[in-house]
Amino acid sequence: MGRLFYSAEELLKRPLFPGMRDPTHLYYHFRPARPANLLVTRDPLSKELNLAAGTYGQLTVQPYTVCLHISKHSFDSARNIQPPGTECVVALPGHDLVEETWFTSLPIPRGICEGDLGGLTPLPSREVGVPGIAECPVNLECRAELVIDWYTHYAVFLRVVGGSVDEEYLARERLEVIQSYPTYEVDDQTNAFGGAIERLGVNGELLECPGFPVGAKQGGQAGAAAWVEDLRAEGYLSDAEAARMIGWLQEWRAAIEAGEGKERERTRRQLTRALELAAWEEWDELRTHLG
Amino acid sequence: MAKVYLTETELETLYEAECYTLGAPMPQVLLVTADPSFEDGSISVRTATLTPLSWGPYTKAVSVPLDDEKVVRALREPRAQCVLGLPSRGMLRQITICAQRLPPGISEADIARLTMLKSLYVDVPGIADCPVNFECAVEHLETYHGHLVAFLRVVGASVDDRMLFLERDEIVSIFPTNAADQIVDRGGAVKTRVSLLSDLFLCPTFPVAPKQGWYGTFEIWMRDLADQGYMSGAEHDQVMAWHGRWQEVFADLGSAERAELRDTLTELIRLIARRRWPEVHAFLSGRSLG
Repeated sequence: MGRLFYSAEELLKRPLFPGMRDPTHLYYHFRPARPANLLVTRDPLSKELNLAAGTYGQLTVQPYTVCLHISKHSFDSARNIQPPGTECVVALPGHDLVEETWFTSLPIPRGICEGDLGGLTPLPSREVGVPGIAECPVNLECRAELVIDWYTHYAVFLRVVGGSVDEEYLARERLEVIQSYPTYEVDDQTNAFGGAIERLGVNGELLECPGFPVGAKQGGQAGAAAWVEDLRAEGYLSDAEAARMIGWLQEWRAAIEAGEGKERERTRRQLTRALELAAWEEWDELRTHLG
Repeated sequence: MAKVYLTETELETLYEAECYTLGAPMPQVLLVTADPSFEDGSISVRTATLTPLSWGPYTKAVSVPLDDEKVVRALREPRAQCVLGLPSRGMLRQITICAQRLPPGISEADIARLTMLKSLYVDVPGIADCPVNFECAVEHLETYHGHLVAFLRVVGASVDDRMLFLERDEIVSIFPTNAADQIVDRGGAVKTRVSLLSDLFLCPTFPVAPKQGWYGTFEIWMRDLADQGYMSGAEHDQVMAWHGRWQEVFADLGSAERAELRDTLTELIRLIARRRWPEVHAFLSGRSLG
């Protein structure tokens, strides 16, 4: 197995490896697919609606906040989303809206609504003054809390203050939901003129990561002590073995407070090995290690 | 289609009930940082999700809870660096392990048996098990609702050469994983589920866009259509005359001419976007400016 390294400058030049025909082939290894959204905003002058495709990330769960990155070339969205306090809707499109999603990316004059091109229907919002899109399964009603001028883009932190979802999806299995929406921006293919053809995708598989005993029952935030206690409570460790691991955890905390010391490295090695064996469910080796 | 509306408070309750229908599975990373409080630069690897920011320069953001002390401390260091490794479908156990809040100085890399990889552009190592690693400099920090949002500039990256010639539809089924949801199993344990993309869909291209795609202008798009024979020179001039007049009257919100022009342009562009060329020609021949 080998590894190819590129500087950021080299990446932006879209390098190619001998034998690659598609000029975007290598570049898109470095641009992971991102969830797509349709952003609905209102023109501050004319009050007309604007729809624009983009991608987003989630910042926090409670409160539910997301971050848009809006290109300064997306003139309408970039203008309409400012200042903080501005209301908008982040709609999540399904795979049945690929063409309509593309229509919202067309360079049409200010004031002409992209939704009208694809026959999208405004959906009244309850918490903000901007409508959502009825054809989208999910509409997040948002208020901008922070707008950061960031190179070629604006990073816009949005607080979700309400939302709506198609009722039918509430009862569906998770896999079925993510196979339907949202779409993701995956890459660009190249058209006959050397221009870009946007390619979207949807999730197709759902995989389960191992839970307890590979980590704490309550999840990662519970911490190492809770994990050890769970192992004891479920019989993976005896009381004495759990006490030894808890002891090492306490010793390690104390050693950190005390600074450098010969014992510190030994404690670190013991504790690391014990946690490693638990994480890989190698119980015989763990008991030997703790013995 | 019946819609169910939820208030902000109800949304929070839904999350507690593990209802993820109102969100998207988010692209995952393994965030590698070096804890400055240890002389040996103890390495931490934390499961996180990615937020895109800009492409040139190439920047991304990660959001870390403020109580994740060792990761936050590392990101807050002056001139802090980090690596974002993209986990693959074969790294499910490592994703769980790296989500555990282990004490400072105890490296998740060791617990997860990750093979670390010397980086070329930053001092923090990458993860050899990850198909792609982004080597990053921390450029900006925002404290936001109990989280530290780190704006990262990608200064270098590496890819496993086994991925080089795989097609996109194969790549997306391997990495990166997307954080889909958490479920509680019969034993009461929380389990994270991750998703991977499968089906890909091509969007339309020229003539339903400028030849160059995304970043063209309306003027370029119409010129492209005329150059390729989708409309005559006269038809092109007619469209651009409407466009020019639309810009002139845009701010005259109450005018009847503006309303008519808006309808005209909307219908024209709708017909072009639908590739209904006979109707485009008929529409253009049946109307004239003013």
